[in-house]
Amino acid sequence: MIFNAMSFRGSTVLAISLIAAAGCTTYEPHGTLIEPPMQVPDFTLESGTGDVSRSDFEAKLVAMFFGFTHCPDICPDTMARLAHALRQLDADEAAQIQVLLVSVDPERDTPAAVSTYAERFHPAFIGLSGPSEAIADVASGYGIYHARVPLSDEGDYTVDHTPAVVVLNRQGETVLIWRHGIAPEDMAADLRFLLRRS
Amino acid sequence: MSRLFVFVFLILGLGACGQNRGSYAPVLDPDTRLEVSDAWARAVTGSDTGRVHSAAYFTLMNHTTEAVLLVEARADAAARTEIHEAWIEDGIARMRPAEQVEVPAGEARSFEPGGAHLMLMDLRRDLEAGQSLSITLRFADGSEEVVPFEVRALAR
Repeated sequence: MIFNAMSFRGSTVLAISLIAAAGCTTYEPHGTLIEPPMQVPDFTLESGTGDVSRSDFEAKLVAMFFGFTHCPDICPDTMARLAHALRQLDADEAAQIQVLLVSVDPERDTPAAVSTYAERFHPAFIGLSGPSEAIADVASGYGIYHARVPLSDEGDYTVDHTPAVVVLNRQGETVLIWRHGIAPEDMAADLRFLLRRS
Repeated sequence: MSRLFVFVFLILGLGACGQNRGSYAPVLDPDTRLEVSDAWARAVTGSDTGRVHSAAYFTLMNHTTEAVLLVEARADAAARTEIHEAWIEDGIARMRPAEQVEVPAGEARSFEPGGAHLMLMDLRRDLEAGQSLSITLRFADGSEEVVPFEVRALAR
């Protein structure tokens, strides 16, 4: 009886330990996980130093944000959060992440201007622009809305746009989407999770 | 000038911790009508290009019994300063210039990232973390106040 009682206690402890261990491996991303990941065609846009394609980064996870340099609020806020997230990763982890800023205002944002803008947030960030039609194709491929909105008769305008960040896996598929305002610490945790599973 | 502002900055609040008697609330002069707190602007470089912008944020508390209308802002560091409203609607980020922003009697209005803000356009100088810049706020009754804004780093 004593032996049986000990076995029962031992089994119970083992079961609890297994459940606890299983709990440790469960991770709930802060962004929206896309399962199965969504295939999107490759694209080529222009940075300040030449053409850049998504397929250039197949060894990396890619975090893409669609914004514009005349945007004073949500865009720099998001870029700053991405930079802060990247700085929370160790060097090996950060080297496996590429942040791309795609301008939704190619009329004002030359490839050089948007590249310079992106690098102000983090030297490894790449800013991209290009012909309006090419930008529109890329944006629509990732479900990003953008529309030029006139503000005055003098030609001032702004651009309404989806402020989400789209994260691509190493196969270039959309695997995670961050809504605007997610904390950099949560971005970093999600990126570590994606690096572990890829 | 009948308005008396009290500027409450985080650093002052922290500095006063040693003398804190259990409350972080600012001690207000009985004549205080409006109170600006947490006034900051986002750091940015590259002003030599003439096309760099930033945004400034603050909280405006209206201690009066009447609504207050902010109708204009002017920053010494920017060629143009506009009051903007920004919001996210149906997953789309939108931003529009605002003719005025109302702060109801007895209430506070926060100008914050993703919401109302002052857009500092075509900056004349870089804004570096730790610096200060002056922004003049003008109200519908014609009164103006010069408010110091602390420049904070891009990374949060």
